[in-house]
Amino acid sequence: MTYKGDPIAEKLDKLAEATGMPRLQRRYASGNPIRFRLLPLVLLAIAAAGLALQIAEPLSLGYLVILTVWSVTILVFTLGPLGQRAGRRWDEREAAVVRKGHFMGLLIAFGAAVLGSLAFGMGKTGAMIRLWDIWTPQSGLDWLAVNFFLLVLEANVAVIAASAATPEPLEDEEE
Amino acid sequence: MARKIYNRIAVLRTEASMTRKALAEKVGVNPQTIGFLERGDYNPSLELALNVAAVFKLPVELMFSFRPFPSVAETLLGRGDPS
Repeated sequence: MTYKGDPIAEKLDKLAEATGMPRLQRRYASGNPIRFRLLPLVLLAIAAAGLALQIAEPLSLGYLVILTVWSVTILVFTLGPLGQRAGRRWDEREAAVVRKGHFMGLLIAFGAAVLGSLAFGMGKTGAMIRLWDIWTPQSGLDWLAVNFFLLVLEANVAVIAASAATPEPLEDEEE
Repeated sequence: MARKIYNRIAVLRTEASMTRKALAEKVGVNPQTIGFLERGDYNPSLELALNVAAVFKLPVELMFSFRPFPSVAETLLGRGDPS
């Protein structure tokens, strides 16, 4: 809703609306979670690029890219179907959506962790016998990047799965 | 994939002049969940189905069914499936 009356206040109000934050705030206050589809996929792609950067250049800022994606993921997580609304408890439907989301998220993150640790093990073994040289985390920053990548993976897959399990919002909300 | 469960919540709620919010408070869920139930987007747990039936003082099998309920007009004209 835009402010009417004072021209300066109107312009400031329009500017604020253009940022999209008031719309997000209204959506959050209404109790309707946002069903994210594309944004979590974009975040996962950026996080994967960050991890690739960290692998290619260990002294680069790949881990910072992943940490930044994690910060945005927290916002997506809060506004999506997995976010707990203030002063409200989850009912059985919402709890089922949360369980479904986290089941998918944890399943995918677990799979990635198992395959990743297997690759690290094979990498170390291969390097010992001079057969191949697969990247393995060396520094603390490498481990930080891997750790936050798994967190980003779990959270975003959970948001996608929970969004898919949430029906379209009702048309007559005011009732 | 779970089978769709049809219900008469919307008709009974309207007849009782009850809002979704009021019904939701009585059965301990969020109003959106009542809306999703009415729209057929969500199959309730047995506990929720029994709680909703208790609010309208009806047996649960008269409120929920795997088969679509006849419309009010069909029921009034005696064409509805009595089950």
